[in-house]
Amino acid sequence: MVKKQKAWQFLAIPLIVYTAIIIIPFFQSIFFSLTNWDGLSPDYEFIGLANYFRVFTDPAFAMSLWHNVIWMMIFLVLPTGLGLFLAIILDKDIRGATIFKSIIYFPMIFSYVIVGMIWTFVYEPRLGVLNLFLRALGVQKWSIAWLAEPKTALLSIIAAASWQHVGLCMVLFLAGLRTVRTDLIEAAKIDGANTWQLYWRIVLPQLKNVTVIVVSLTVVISLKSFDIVYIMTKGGPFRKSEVLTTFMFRESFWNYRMGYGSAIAVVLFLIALIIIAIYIRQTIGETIE
Amino acid sequence: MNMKVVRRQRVSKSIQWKIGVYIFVVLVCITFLIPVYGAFATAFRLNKEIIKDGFWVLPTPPRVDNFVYILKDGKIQYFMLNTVIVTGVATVISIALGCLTGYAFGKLRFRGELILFILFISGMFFPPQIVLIPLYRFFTAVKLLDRLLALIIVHVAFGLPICTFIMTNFFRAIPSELRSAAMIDGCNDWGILLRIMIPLARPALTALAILQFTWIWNDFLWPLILIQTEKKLTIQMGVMQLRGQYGLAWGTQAATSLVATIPTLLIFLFLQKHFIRGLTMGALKE
Repeated sequence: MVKKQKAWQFLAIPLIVYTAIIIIPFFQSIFFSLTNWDGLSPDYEFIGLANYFRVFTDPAFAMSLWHNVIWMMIFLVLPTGLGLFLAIILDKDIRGATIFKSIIYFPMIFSYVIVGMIWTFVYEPRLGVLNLFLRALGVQKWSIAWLAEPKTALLSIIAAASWQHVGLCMVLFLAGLRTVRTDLIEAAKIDGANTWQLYWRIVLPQLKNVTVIVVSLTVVISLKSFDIVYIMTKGGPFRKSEVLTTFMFRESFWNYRMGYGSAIAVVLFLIALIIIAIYIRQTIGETIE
Repeated sequence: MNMKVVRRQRVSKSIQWKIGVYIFVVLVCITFLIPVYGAFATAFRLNKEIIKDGFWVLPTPPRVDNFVYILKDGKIQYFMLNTVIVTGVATVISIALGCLTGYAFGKLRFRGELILFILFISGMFFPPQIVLIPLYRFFTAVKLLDRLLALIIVHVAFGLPICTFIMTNFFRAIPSELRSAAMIDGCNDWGILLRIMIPLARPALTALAILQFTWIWNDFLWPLILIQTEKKLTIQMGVMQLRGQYGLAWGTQAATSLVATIPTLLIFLFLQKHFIRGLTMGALKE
């Protein structure tokens, strides 16, 4: 047992930075969420839980939350599923596996701003490749202004974000596959298991830990997404691609309702907290036991 | 005879399956590359060519006019320089602090260890929105609003969780006998950290540095909130700014996007392995 004093020599500076920039502001947010501060005037009133009552009756909040849920569900199916599938295929020595992997990783290096820019080119109504393709197929009426249509704006953004997210899922699943015990696979093969059974019964159960991590990361990323929406639509048209983060930003910095914005942030945090708890149980619980 | 037929059928079926999978992978890869190709093709063509033929025609001959234009405009140089400063300084400091916390959590035992560790790590998942308004207020109060230093401070704090996580796991895996032996030789904890642990941690440090660099380079939210003067913007926010300025000038938009991606592109081309390893270390305990 080392004395506490010794550890503090190392922890003091990081802890001061972390407390000043994250812990204290965190509590300040909770405090502001109980006020009607507008962000400009020096004084504000304490209004209790009024902002929270307002959050839960605000249709704009419900809509933003719903958009996050849609985002999350698509993210959990498309990029996660594709990431797993590609990982399983490219884990074997098939010809060109390295290059294929690199291509799937590639979008990860782009910021969400640049992903947004690149995909704006894809969705451009007249010149974009998507409509070019659709017109070539002869389905003229499907060639629409993807980001300007209330029905397609959100889905178009999610598609662009998925393009970037597949790589991360694949990286993690590939790492997970490396820990799969080969002796079990060999044993199952000898027992006459077919490929399907092999993956379903032997490999996938061993990927349980990595799956929990991929899922929690994916959920958090879909909750935190902000940049790409801001770049592509700013939440429009008619708030049809608004998510919690852009909603919070709009209320705080455009409508000068910092009290209300703080309440939205707190709710967003509480949702993220569920994921934090799951993740910590999975990774850190094992580390420190 | 019968067995042979069954076998042959099975073999051909598995080959069909393999070919199908292969075609699928190739198609996915092509789909993945198309959007990037569009940006490249657009960046290397004149705006009148783009309006005439669209984004997707091969640029023959490739034109550098867009790049010349944005360089002459002169703003992108500022944006890049600001981002290099913020990213470089914040990456180094956050990793240095991560070594301190990593050593404390990985090699020292003390009361409250677990709680503090969880406190640090959970920051990985904090939506930045939860501290946005108070930090905006804080930096205004201490007159750091519109200063690169504010961005550096924020990135250091938000980098701490991942740096702590990776360094703790790495240091913990180093045998404690090494520490005891050094202690007997009269080395104190600082000496052990600086002379033994950090040199051993070089692979983890490389991967972590690349990861941190990429994230901070790609950040958009903080300059959006904390920077107001155009000359002080970092590149992601700068790209956004220039998009407003250039309007429908697609070529210049694409060119700014490519320039903004150069550093991370270099990482991808030359340090991909470290980047991937960093991602794995950041999420899984190896």
